[in-house]
Amino acid sequence: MMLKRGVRFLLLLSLLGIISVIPLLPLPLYVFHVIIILFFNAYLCTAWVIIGGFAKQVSLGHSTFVGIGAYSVGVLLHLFNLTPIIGGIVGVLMTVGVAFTLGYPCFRFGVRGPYFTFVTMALAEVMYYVVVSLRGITGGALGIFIPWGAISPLLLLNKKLVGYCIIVVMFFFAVFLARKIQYSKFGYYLTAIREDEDAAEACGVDILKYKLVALSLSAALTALGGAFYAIYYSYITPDGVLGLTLSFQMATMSLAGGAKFWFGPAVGALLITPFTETVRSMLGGRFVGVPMLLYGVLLLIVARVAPDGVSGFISSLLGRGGSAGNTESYERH
Amino acid sequence: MQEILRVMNVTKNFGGLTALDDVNITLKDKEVLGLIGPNGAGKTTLINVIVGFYRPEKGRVFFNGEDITDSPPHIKALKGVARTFQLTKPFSNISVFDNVMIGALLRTDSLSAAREKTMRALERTGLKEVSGVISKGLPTGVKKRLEIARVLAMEPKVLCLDEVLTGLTPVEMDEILGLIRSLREDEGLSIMIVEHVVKALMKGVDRMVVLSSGKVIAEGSPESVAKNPLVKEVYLGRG
Amino acid sequence: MDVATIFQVIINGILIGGLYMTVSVGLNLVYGVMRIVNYSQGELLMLGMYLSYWTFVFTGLNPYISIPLVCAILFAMSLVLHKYAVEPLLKLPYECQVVTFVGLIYIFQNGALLLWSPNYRSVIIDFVSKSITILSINIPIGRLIATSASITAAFVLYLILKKTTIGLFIRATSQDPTAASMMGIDIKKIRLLTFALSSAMMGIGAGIMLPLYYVFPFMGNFYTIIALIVITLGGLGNFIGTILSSFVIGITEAMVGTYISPEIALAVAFIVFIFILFVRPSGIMGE
Repeated sequence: MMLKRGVRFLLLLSLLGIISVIPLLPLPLYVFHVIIILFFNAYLCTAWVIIGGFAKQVSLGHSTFVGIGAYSVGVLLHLFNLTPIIGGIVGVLMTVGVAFTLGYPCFRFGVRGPYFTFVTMALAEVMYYVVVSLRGITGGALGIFIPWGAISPLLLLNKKLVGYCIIVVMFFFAVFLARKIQYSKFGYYLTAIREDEDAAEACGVDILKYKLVALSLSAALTALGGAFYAIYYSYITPDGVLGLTLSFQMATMSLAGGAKFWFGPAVGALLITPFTETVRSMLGGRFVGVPMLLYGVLLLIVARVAPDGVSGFISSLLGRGGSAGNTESYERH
Repeated sequence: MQEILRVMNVTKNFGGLTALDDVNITLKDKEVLGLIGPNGAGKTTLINVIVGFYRPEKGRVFFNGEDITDSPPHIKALKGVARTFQLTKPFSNISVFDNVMIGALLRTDSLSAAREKTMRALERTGLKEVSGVISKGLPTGVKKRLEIARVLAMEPKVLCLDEVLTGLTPVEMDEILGLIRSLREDEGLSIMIVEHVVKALMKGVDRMVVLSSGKVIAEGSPESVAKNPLVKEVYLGRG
Repeated sequence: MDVATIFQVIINGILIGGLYMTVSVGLNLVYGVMRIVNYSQGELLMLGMYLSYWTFVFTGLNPYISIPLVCAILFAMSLVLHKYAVEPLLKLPYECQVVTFVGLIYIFQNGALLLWSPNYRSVIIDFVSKSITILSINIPIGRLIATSASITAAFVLYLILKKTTIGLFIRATSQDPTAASMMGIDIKKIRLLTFALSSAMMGIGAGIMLPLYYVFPFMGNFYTIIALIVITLGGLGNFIGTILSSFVIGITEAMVGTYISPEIALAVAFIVFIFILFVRPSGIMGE
């Protein structure tokens, strides 16, 4: 959205203001936790959207990257006492490797659309099984426990506060990156790929290269998200960081929020996190299902009524011509 | 005149069907060449081979003396060979301006430079007023002009227009033909224009090549081709 | 690695493939006619199994016998589903399919969770766990019934598609909806029928699987993803391809499970799938 400079600056300022005040408010610990998770989901979804929205290569397997990031931190800490920073770097390198290994054949041989989605789903399942079976290294289904004190005594100060600061910084980084991409040549080319690959190729877009870069970037960012998960939750299990459920969540939150815009995923996370977090903590037993069921209904409605996501819907209401990630015109220049 | 594009002994098969059979065509520098023939003659297939969407079973394609047969479409675009599509392929959900931007970004990494090229291309094709419109809803004639604008912003040397006149009113046709002429005069482009409608091309092209069932059956000035009995048979015989 | 064991493994694989076949055929049918991927196909199987279970609990009807009832209920249910959730997808971009069907997955899974709790349920039928032995190959009866039923159902469906008028209409609609509608075929009704049929098939799958496996709210995902792999391997939309690949996947799983490790059996099958997709994106038999 191209708002006037002054308005944008004010919005940003007030946002930053709210964000800095939040930790100081006397919020119940649980609410603070949900806010942290909100930023976390927004971060993950923004990472997803680079490949899944801008380029429209819908991945239902991004949990693989989360898992690799989380387990890299966990395993290296557990086995070799290496700090999460090294774990994070290793995670990023591994996910980029996986992105290339999977992406190159896929994009080279025209595995597109639903086919690509299936491949990513298969990847997520493979990763799950592999991690569970390598129980000597990964702790199998029981997972790995990461004590905060082991990372640095400093962190024992206030886990929630530190986690909040880290994730807020990560979130802003991701969102600024997404915005920068959207309004760059890279972003234009991803849009071209999204809209019509053959026409894009005829316009000189190297489809293979740009898809690979988008996928690798998305994977790397997601891995860092996994590293954060490991540190914040202190406990990594295959069910928490791998598998289709997490992948579904990342994809649908982003798509529901609006996958063509840099702020769309954040909107999606804002909208949907309440549903998924009430599941975890507030209700127990079988009523765990109610918020998730509502989430499902919400998705059905969004798909019908707002195919470009909530932000796309609002964008079109504001008369911005609907679904364009980039809408420019002659008059503006 | 130098030749800028040369199709040499190209054969293209699809399973059992031979779409192009030992085709030889040259396009001279700054020439406007008309490629005509009945439906199914292989005209679009030829463009697809030239531009790189298909690989020929036999034969080579040369651009400025360089063998570009095996280059993928995006490399050929970079080298200067561009095409428009028979059924227009705009980037539907973005504006006309942004459509052309994607073409303009071929030769520059700077958005502002690309915007300059875009604005010029839009002016040339008379699309200034609709530049902010999302291309999905545009009428065919405008979409065809959009394709041309987009391809212009790519600053090509050779332009292959695939049935760009089909579906246009006579007035629109004249406009586009005028535009094509000026492209040759002002930008020095070499243009291969593929058409099914012969009449429209008669005044617009320097030379004509006739394709039928994958083979070149006639070649020469528009008048001589029009008088050619073989050509008449191939067109009327289908009626 | 003697011959008898190899045969046993292959037979095991065929029996596994038989279980995967129904979901795959259903998924394939919907894709063939509408080019829509029903990511919630496995959940329909899950619902079918619950229907079968509760029918058994309240009426004592054997799951094999209650198949027609379950099919009918699923059929009716999907008429509604199609009208409100699936049909609109025909005019919407691909990503809306993902959103819609994941939404359905959440609804079905959590609906089942709310109604019937996360407990595992199963039906014990005596003869199901017994086996017969032919030529020193051990064949559990329950699985034999399941595979035979799947193959029969697939065969019947095949006959319907090839020999009946309705089948002709369905095939015409999958090949070219525009041409089909111009020839007077009511493609709206055909699509509705196909979707309902593919859901009803899950009733057959449910009836044959309940005696063998537990049902619980989250079991569906697994079968969906297997089915996706199967139909892609066989060529999206290709009926015979789907049938053959169910067996290919089943046999791969059995072989890896027996000779390497049961844990990664499926992982290997998935990896094989990914490789084949690169080599031949249109699957073994093409679209």
